[in-house]
Amino acid sequence: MRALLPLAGLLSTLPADRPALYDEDGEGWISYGALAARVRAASDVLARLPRSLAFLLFSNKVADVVAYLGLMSAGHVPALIDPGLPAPMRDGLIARYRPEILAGTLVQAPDGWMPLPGIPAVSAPDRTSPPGLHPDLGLLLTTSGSTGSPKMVCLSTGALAHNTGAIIEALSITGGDRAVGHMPLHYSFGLSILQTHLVAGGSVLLTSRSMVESDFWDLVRSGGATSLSGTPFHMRLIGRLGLDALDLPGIRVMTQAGGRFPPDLARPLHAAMAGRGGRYFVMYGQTEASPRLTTLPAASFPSHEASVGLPLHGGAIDVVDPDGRPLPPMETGEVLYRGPNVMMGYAETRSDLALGDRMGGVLRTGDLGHVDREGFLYLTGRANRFAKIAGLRINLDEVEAMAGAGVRVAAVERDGSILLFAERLEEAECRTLNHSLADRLRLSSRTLRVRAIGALPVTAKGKVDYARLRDMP
Amino acid sequence: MKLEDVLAEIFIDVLRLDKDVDVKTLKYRSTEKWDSLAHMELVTALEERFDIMLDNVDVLRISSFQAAVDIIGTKYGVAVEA
Repeated sequence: MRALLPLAGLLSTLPADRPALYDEDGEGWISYGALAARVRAASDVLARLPRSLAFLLFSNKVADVVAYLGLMSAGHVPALIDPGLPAPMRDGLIARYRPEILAGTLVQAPDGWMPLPGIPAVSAPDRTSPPGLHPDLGLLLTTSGSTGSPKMVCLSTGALAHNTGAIIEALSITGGDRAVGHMPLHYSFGLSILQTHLVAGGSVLLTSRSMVESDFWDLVRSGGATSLSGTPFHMRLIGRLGLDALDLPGIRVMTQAGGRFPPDLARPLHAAMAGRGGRYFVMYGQTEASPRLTTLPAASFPSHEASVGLPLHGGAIDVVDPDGRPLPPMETGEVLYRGPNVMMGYAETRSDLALGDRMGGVLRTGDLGHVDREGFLYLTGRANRFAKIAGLRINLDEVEAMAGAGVRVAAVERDGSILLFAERLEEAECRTLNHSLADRLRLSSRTLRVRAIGALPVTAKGKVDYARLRDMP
Repeated sequence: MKLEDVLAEIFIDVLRLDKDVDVKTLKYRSTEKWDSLAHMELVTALEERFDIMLDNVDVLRISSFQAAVDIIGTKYGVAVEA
């Protein structure tokens, strides 16, 4: 049995007539029976090829999900690629990793590649002794979807399966839950929503529409969604549009991950869910952890609203000092996670895919935080978001917080000074902010500079793109 | 300056487009840089430039340059003078 994830086999054990995936391009609901049959057919074709690395340009379509599950089921190793990645970057990744299969409805077969019958995938013409794939390796995810960075996260099938189960348990996902698959499936948060709901026997409305389109909300209502997930960007948008005005009585579960979301904005969403007997979950994860690390139980939100919660089943959190020594509760240090869902390691070239586990189940998250006496985790910033200015360690997140809530800012270190980009600030306002911040940080106006910017660049995940800011002319 | 010209400046700035782009062709999703994040930046830029607060329904309806012209011009009564 080469099946790497129990998911594909599990599909056929669920009631065949139960809806699994909604296809917005006309097919409507696909039942578990139909999905299992399509995955089996894809897997049968794919299993004729030796174990391969498959680049999957994963768009939110049923055919691409079938390709994903078929690849998994046939024992191949999918690497999930943003279909919107510019062609030169995608080709750079292909040259570096030399996948033997390209899959996805948006794939345009390069010259000489052979189409595989019945599935959106092509097979490489030249398969001369590709470097091996480690037996534990199950899935590759990119660390930065939008920049085409060659660094990938290597996840074992065991880690993925464990985390999927732990999320289902923490969120009590059941066959009655229907999620909205609106986030990209090559993004670990979007992928986890798909996987957890399928394994739990629930259903997913796959859509390429987004929350700024009225068609999206029509689909959520008419499709009978019960669960809505998003990043801080999505939650902010829901807050602005108003949960009541959106008229979504069927939504009983909301899950937020992908970055810090202010408790002031989360509170009304939690109250709305609690008021209808539903639940609002704050979660924390990293792609490196398959991806979930902690979840705040919905009932704990009122008493721990600034917390990202407790480690998932099988995981443990330690907060450590710069020398790696564990710190007592309430003391701030780097958050260290131990658990069976930690990645095998990073890859930067094809030959790295032959390597076994090099993490030992321990992940240095790079996040700063503390745990309270009950074990709830609070995040306070990034460990590597420290600038060193004239010998002083300055937390760039704190500099941003000092600028106040009225303006969107992002701080980076450059050439021994702090550069703070402020969205749409007038020149005079920049000068005022520059003076007040420099005063508070006791820096000169040359070691701290405030610059106006039309809009802060963001990554595919909607987070501020600090790398681009550091390189701005 | 006509409303269309002011809107064109805003769209070109927020979506980081070439100055000579035909703004009339701009549509959500089919214009590459116009994704959901950019959409909300557009909404903020429009609200600040015209000192208005867009209704929810209009946030979702501004799905093309022409829709923005219609909605900002008629519903919010914005007329731009020289």
